[in-house]
Amino acid sequence: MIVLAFATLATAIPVARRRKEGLTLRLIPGYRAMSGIVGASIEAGRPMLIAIAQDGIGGTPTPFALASTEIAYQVAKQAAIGERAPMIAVSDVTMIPLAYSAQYRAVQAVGRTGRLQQARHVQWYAPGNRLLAFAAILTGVAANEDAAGGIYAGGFGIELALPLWNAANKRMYSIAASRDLEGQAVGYVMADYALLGDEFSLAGAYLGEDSVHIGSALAQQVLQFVVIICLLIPVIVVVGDAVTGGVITRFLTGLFGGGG
Amino acid sequence: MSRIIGLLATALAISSGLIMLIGLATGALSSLTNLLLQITIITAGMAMIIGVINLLSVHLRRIIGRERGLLYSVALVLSFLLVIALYVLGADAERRILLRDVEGSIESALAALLVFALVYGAYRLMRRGVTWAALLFTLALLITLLGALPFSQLSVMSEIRAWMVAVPASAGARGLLIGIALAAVVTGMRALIGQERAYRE
Repeated sequence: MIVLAFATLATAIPVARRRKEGLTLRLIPGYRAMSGIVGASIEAGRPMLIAIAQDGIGGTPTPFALASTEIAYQVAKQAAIGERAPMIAVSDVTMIPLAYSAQYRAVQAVGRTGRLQQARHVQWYAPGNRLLAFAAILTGVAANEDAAGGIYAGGFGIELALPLWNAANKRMYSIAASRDLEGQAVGYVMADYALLGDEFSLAGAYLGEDSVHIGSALAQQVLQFVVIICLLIPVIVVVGDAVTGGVITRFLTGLFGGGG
Repeated sequence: MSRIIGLLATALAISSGLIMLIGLATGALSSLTNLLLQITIITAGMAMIIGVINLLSVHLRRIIGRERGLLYSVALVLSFLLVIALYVLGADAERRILLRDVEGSIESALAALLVFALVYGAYRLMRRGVTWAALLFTLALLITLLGALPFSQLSVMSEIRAWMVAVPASAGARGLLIGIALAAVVTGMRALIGQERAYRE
């Protein structure tokens, strides 16, 4: 799988670089709305709140941490033309440098390095046993910062309901970008927009239109089709055998050998 | 200078990632992988200190500047100091009361609130607009809730609920999980080949 992923990515990135204009990504409402929400926050002079739960460097959550950082970077970059930098709240201490780095790179990307000091808006809160404490504190952070909208990324589970409930009550825009299955379900029901399945990892492709990230999105699509084909093959064999009396299995056995 | 640092970070990330990958796949380089793991653990420990400094600096600044939410910041800093003081004084029983009885009770109360939040969420979903997806969601929710009731008259609902959980819900969940896993693999691979933005820029 790793070799296949490497080969697909190594092929897809150059393809995306060469044919950037020719590739069309499918519509994801959450990303389409994100730019509008950030624009509304700039007009209102209020910051965005980006909450990243559980993701951190080291171990399994590392790729998810990078995906969440990309969301934070893209939002910070869009918000960098405004007066208020987004507030990034994280539950894992190893995310603090990544969040600072996202804000630093964002103001650099739009050439407003004079605002570096203002852009240093990162807060860490300990997650508690079930992330409930972190989810609850986000309601307070949103109120204190007078946030215009919230993006909830990372490993939020069912506790995501608390900040989303608060966002709905305070008429804040909300986008759920959880990687947890329960979090995605809660986000689908309660958030204004929800990123489902692997959509949370596509921020660079959709918001940044960066060829490396577009290539990654392309690679993900190809790998998804490979998985679908791999799942369909046994189904076709079983159904085909039932219809033809085992002709397909005999053909495949003859083709690949086997059975001693 | 920043370009050199970026290149060094990329080289470090790629080499560490490859060493760990080879170690996991073949079982070789165990001493090197163990060393890398130890460095990661130590770095994470140091990061905790950074976290505490970040937490205190944010809230002390808010207290000194008399900013909005001042009372919450005061409560946070006082709680922090109280736990540290109890630890230094060796008052383990009192520290446990703070963690188990105070924090535990508050978390339980928040967990109870979640039910109301979810019910409100279902109502809000329908209020936003009656779509096929929203109708399907509400129907599935009703069948699941009715099927969970312990009445023999509703045994048909229990069977439908069991089928829904075992077949369509399970299939959907697996599909989403496969997507999430592929996203993780591709993102990890992007970092391994030095194409991650955090290193590139």
